[in-house]
Amino acid sequence: MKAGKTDPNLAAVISALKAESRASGVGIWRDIALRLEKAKANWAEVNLSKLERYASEGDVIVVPGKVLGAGELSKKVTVAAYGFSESARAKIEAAGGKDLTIMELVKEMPKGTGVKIMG
Amino acid sequence: MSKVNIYSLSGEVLRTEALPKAFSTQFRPDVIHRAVVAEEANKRQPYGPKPGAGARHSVSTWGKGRGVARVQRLAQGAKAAESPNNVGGRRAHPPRVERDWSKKVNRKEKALAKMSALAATADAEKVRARGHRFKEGLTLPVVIEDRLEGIESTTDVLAALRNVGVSDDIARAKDGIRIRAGRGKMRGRPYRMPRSLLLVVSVHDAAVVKGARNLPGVEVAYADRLNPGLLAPGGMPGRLTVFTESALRKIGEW
Repeated sequence: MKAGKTDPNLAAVISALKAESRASGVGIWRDIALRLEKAKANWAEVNLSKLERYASEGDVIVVPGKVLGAGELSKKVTVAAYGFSESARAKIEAAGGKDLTIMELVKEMPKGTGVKIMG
Repeated sequence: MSKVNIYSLSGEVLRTEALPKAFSTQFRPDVIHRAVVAEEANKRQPYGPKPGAGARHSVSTWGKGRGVARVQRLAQGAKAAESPNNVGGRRAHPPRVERDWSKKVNRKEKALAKMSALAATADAEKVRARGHRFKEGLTLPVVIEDRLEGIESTTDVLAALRNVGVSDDIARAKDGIRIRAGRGKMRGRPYRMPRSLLLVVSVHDAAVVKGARNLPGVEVAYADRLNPGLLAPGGMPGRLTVFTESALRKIGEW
């Protein structure tokens, strides 16, 4: 038997992303859904140091996992993730960026143009 | 953050306060269910036949050669004994007292289950879905002024709960008392009763502990001793919960 996700909140996000991808033909949402379907031990874990190193000013980054607060962030980036640590959230906002849930990002940029997956 | 009314003993709204942070925990029915199942498993007592039951004979087998079955027999006669296939013999594969029924839940998961179950008690839709009855328009969880903790008489407790509008649920529990299905009937637990409201108090020697505990289906709990099993009986979240004002304040300290 395939176990599947027991958390209804997560299951709802996964099926909403897949439905969005089916309806609009935008592949990135399905890609993120499949990444979220993996075991949580294999989820993306992105520290702010990684964002600082690889993101450039004004980027839109989506993390199919959790953003953690190690390191400093000087760039203004929009980050969407399934989860944020409190310190990561504070530092992103302090740098002038935005933190969103993945579904909020889908609503804001349904076409997904220019969105980068990190992690 | 949602707000709750604080009701007086006569059922009037004294004032309105914001709910503590714990009540905005994410709803995780899967985690709550797992924690409650483990809690119930950990309450189980070991059971099994008495050691040596059905094996207290002196037996030996005649072996082959006498034209009878090679079962083991009593020493002083021909009667077969002790084997599982004999009358009065030991059981073949009995439940064993050594069996470990307990289940482990991770500490943080258990904490999440408690918080999530607590948050579910503030959701009228989930509380109704559990089958509880309460007055329309009541803010959940029900918070009653601290004078409730001092009431010693069950009649007075019931009157106060009636004034606030939650006594229907106690009536539901009373009407729901049924003869238990199965063997439990002959093992000292003949009736089953639905669980009605949970009363959370701030001190464990409050007079209302004695005043309320005999009401059908009511349980009284101390604010620091809540657990998922009390907040979500059977693993189904959303129990009708009544807090006293200072019990709610204790939860605000979490």
